[in-house]
Amino acid sequence: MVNRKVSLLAFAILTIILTGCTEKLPTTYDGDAKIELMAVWDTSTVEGITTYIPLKNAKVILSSEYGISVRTTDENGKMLISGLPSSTYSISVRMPHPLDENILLVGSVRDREITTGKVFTDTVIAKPISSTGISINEIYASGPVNSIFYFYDQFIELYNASDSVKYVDGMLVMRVSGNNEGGKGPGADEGDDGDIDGVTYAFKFPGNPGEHNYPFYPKTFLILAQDAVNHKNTVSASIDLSNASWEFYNQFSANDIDNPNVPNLINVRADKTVDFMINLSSDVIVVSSGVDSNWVDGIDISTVIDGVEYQSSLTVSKTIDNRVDRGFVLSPPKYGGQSMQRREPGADANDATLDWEIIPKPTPGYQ
Amino acid sequence: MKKVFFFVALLLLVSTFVTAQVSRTSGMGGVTYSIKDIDHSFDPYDLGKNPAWLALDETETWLRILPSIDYSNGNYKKYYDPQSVTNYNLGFRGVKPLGVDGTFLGETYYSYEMRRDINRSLKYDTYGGEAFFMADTTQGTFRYNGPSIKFMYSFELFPDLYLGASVNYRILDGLKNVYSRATVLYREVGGTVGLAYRLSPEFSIGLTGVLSDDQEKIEAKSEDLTEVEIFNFRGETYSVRKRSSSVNQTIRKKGRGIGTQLYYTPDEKSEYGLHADLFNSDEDILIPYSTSTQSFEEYSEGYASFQNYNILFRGRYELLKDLLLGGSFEIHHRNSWSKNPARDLLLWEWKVNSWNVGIGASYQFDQNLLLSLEYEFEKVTSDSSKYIDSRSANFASNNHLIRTGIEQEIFDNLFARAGFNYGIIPEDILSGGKDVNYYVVTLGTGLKFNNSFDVDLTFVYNSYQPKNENIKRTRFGSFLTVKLFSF
Repeated sequence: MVNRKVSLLAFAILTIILTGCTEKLPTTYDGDAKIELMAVWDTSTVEGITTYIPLKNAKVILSSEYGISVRTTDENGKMLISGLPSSTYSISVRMPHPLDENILLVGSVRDREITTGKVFTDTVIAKPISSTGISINEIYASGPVNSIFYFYDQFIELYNASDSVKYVDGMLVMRVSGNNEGGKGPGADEGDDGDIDGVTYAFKFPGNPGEHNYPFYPKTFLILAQDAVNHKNTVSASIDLSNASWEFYNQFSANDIDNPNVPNLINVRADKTVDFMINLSSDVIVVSSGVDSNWVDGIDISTVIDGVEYQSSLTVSKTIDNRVDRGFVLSPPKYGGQSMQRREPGADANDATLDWEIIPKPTPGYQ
Repeated sequence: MKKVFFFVALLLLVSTFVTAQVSRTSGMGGVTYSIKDIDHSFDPYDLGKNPAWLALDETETWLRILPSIDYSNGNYKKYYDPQSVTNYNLGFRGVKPLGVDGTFLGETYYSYEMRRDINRSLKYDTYGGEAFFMADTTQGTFRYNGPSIKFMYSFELFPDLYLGASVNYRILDGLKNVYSRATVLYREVGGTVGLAYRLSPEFSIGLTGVLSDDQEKIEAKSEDLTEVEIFNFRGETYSVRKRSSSVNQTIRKKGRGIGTQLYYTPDEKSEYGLHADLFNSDEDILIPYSTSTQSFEEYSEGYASFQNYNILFRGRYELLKDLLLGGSFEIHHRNSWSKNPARDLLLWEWKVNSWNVGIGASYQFDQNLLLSLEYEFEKVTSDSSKYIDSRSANFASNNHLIRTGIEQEIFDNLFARAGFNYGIIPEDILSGGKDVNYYVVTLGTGLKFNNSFDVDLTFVYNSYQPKNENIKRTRFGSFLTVKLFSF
């Protein structure tokens, strides 16, 4: 009798063990999502009839948690991709205007949930973006491959995509990394009063807005170096910035390097005594006309020429105001020697996620 | 006595191989069911790993010292497998019968394993059947080392009813030699409870329950200034990147199973054993997760489920005084699937079924010479659907294997052993090769020193090579067993 009880008890225990928690086999499998995309651009409306022209062989950029992949449309402006995993995708279609290289045709859809077993069908209507002004074209923040915490070769590159000479007199270049404690974050419009908040560093081109002393010629780059020296002398994997266009120089610093052959942007915040250093993997960079230089209550958005946010992870929330940019750049690793650059020089569709890409090494002064 | 110590020391020095298990049959080409061997009985302990039968299987006190080295190398391998593996082990296993209080077994090993030139993967075993693995961007060498221990106890609970239990614990510390300089902490904990009942002197049954809890914690932490960038793969094509000064992942696998054994010895001439088991396990891939509004928490990046069952039959029959016949039949089933838990979507599903039938015979030519021959046929089918990779494959393979072994007593208590295997695998479902030919050559020796101790030394060399391809994988090793009967 005792043997029987023991056996039954053992059997009961083993049965419980075996039937322990196991999740159920899903009924739907991943990897069967499809995207059917038609990309067109709007030319004109004549007598109430709008003509759409297919974007032939246009570049299509797919962005999701699995990274970014680039495809092309066919001769009819169509693209069919199958076998995709379920995810939230942003899609951008872009190509140069067939007749005017100053115009980029860009159309995008953002944050579309694309599900396995279903076909996502959409028509993307591209709009011409006339690259008519100054934009931030490259941000090199990560630092070279090194073991001594060297990142003083950082630079910001501007590009004049217009056909006319612009002037940088009085313009501000800012690092926006404040407004964190209880605020909406760097670059957000705190209080909804039409400005962006959180300016921590502000450096200024000489002169005043509206003056015409410092020209920025069309289709050229300006390199704004943290220190305009040959950084290869310190770290061999670094770059030579001794021929930079401009140098950030903090006149309140006792030891900031100043190359006398390179003109300076100077610090407008007397409480900051270090050079214009930006975070290696996440920050907000803003360039404004300088008409509003009161950084304490925020920089008026109407004076912002360009602003870019870069982050090290896709899971963080974007903080820069949507009127400045609707996305952020996924930055390269620290001290990896990689840089961030616009896919096409000066092409700014106000969506950094799709406008920018990581490049293997910095390209100061060229694309 | 000095000569004896010299001989043992010499064996230790020349020893170069692993798996300190059944040294005698290993030296004879791995023949199992066609010869009589103390470690190859078909009872619930040897065939079914039922700890309850320990008290009946082991009736003598002994201690085994088990040093070994194993080295495999070659380019016939899977993409994320190491180019070569070197494994050094030192183990001690002892049995102490305690009379009416039962029998106790203790075992401890220390292992050092070097896995050279692993392409990107940071996981100890990338090909465990799940769709997930963590990878960096470099090819590097992992060094693992750590101890393992095992205790087993068995006693007679009631007349003819035996109860036994075993616990085992293993820990391995791993380190990659180049970026991302990942560290791995691999831990296995397990236990088995068994019951065995002798219905009659000829017929016995057994029942086992198994629990396991394994964990592998991988941390890629930059020692220099570069942030580590890690790819959490879902399948073979798609991965999610994580980047930080430190990126980690925990793989937690919990398993449970039951098994049953039948053991029948109608007379001294024959022995039959049957074992069946069912083992299920669940694996979670846990990663830390944070957003700008949430603090760090563990998040299930992936889930995998494994279901296995096995049926083994072994039989041995002494047809004539010196002629022994043996046979085996096995069925194995393995089903595993992986899903993305956040979306409840199936990523991979993989089923492998196989059955295997073997026959063999051994003949004792005279007092000194034993010759054995075994043939096995195996049918393997594999159905793999890698949905997220849009890839599927079905394989069927009819595998053949011939094993031969010989043992000669050269002098009193000094044995020489040799063995040879030749096998054909038309479709290698594990490594992907076609028409794979393989052979195994073994050499061994055994020495008995009165009733004090035995020494066995075995060398093994094998080679796997797909036909018409200039790739192959070879393995060489040796293992030494020193068995002390009094200590």
